[in-house]
Amino acid sequence: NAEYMGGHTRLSEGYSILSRDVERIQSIGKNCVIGQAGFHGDNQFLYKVLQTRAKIFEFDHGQALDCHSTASLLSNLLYSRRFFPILSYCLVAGVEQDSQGQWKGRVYGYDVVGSFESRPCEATGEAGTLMLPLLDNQVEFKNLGPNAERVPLTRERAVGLIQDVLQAATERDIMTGDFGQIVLIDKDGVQQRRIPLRRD
Amino acid sequence: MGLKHKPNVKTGTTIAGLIYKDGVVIGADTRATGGSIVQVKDCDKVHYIADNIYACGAGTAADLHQVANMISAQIRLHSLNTGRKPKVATAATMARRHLFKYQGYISAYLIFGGCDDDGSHIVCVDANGFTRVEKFTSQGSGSLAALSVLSTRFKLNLEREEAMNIVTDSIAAGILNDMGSGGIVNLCVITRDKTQYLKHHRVVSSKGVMGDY
Repeated sequence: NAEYMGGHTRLSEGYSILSRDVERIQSIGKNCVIGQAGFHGDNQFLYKVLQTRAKIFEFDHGQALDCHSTASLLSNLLYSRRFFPILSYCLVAGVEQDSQGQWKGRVYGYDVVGSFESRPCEATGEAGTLMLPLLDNQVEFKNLGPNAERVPLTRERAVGLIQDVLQAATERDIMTGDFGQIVLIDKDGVQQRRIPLRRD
Repeated sequence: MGLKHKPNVKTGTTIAGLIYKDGVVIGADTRATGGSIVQVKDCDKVHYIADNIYACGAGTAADLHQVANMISAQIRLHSLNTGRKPKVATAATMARRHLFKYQGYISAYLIFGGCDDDGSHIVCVDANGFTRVEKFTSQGSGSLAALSVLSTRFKLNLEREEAMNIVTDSIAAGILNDMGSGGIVNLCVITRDKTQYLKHHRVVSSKGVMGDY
């Protein structure tokens, strides 16, 4: 009934660091966030467009976009540039009410042309391939032996896990580091916190 | 077609050295990268050549390892043959002859530092064989960051503490600002009478907070 998203705040070009303090995770509406990796210019552009479209929807329909609608909108936006792609690797995360009124958390992962899928956990970006196996193992209990301990995912554990996963990525990927931005989304809205990561 | 091989493990690297009042100080970071992945977090880039000569290396890790070992062996034999303490110039010349022969295909960028009977020396040898004798120098992807610190603070006849601080700070600049460099600063201080290899001299950036659960 809640979602966590973690990202790092380093902006780099080649071997140089352009900024140590770039926020990659931003809100769309009350219960949804978008995290973006890839080309920073396109990330900024895409976020502006998405935000504007969300506002227009609100004015037209009198209610805010919910999470799966945002996800669908993003997919269409990306596909509209099928032959000159927006080089943005997005993750949309949020909570929404299902038909019984229960709040459920969802994460949607994208490619650059808008193919998306809802999954229990997802990682993207330069170090995405470093983080995803760890998340598969700890969140979905994949690739664990039959006798291995499967620790259920509470909120505290989830936060700790995101922190650890970011630290792990920072250790082994040169482009990841400086600060980690961790965002919690639940029915009451979005909360953010920052953790320090290695700066080398 | 076929298998695209992974990029060679390079020491992305920041290495630096300077001459001070009583000898030389050379230093290096400890990160080895393959592409954008850190392959080794704590690798040793300060290579032993002789008791009074050490070399820091940037470039392809395998090349550096082999070249350093080869020069070290040749220097030992040479020193036994001549009956004299080995000279930095000799080591640098051996490296230069080898690297020039391979026209830069052996990607080894070395900073030789040491004290011999002719005094204290820092000699830089590039992969193409270009050699220069310097009072202070840096190499590797973090060399610009390191050089900015060295150029600002270097003076002739520095004291030992000051010299060590300047080299450490220059490597730290490379570690923090260049993504190809990282880890811990390793330092080597060589004087006429003594050589001191200070492994893990300064931790520049530590891991930070792990999850609490």
